[in-house]
Amino acid sequence: MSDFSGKNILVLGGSRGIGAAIVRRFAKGNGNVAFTYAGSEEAAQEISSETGAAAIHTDSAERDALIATVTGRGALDILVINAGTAAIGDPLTFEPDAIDRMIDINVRAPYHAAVEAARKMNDNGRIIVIGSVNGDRMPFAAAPPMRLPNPPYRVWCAASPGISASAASPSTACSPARPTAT
Amino acid sequence: MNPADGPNAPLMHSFMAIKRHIHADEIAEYTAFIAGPHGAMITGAMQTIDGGFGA
Repeated sequence: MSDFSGKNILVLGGSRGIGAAIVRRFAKGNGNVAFTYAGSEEAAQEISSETGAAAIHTDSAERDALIATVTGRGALDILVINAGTAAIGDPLTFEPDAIDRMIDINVRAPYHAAVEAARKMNDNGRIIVIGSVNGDRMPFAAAPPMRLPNPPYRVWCAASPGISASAASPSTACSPARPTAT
Repeated sequence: MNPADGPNAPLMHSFMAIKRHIHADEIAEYTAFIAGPHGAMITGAMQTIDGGFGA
């Protein structure tokens, strides 16, 4: 098992599902772990108590708060961008606010978090984005609702981690010097 | 949202080569690999972990 002792780790979206499993995994490896949560206060506190990881309330849709949280953790070694959401259904009847929130969380937040982390990330740092096959290669992903939030970079996968455990498609970018080249 | 015992599970599994839900731990282990020493030169890449859903 990899040893993450001495590593400063931030997981965006770590209170439930895949994110919680990632928090547990790094904590088990003795990393210095913090994670964010938005809606799941109780789950976040449970994971925090269980692992010793710091739980930070930050909605990834709120850019300034997100940036403050990332910069507030200092020089990171590992940033995992796991927070995500999905809007599933007919684009003709989607609530505009729900679509904007999805784009904020799935597209804008990963960009801003990665860039802010990269500004002072330690050497050999890692930025890892947890996406979904919904945003990449699912056969029917060409439908507008799924394609809409797809950014130009393949690793900025859209849709929700944990929407289906069968649809998680982790992606990675390890160069803190070129965060936007991920 | 889409639990292993949910109504959509059989449909989801029908698309998959490996017909079961993926455990969150399996994604976490991959993340740890990429974040660990063995992942040092892996960059700009994406790994699909979908049990063959989109294959």
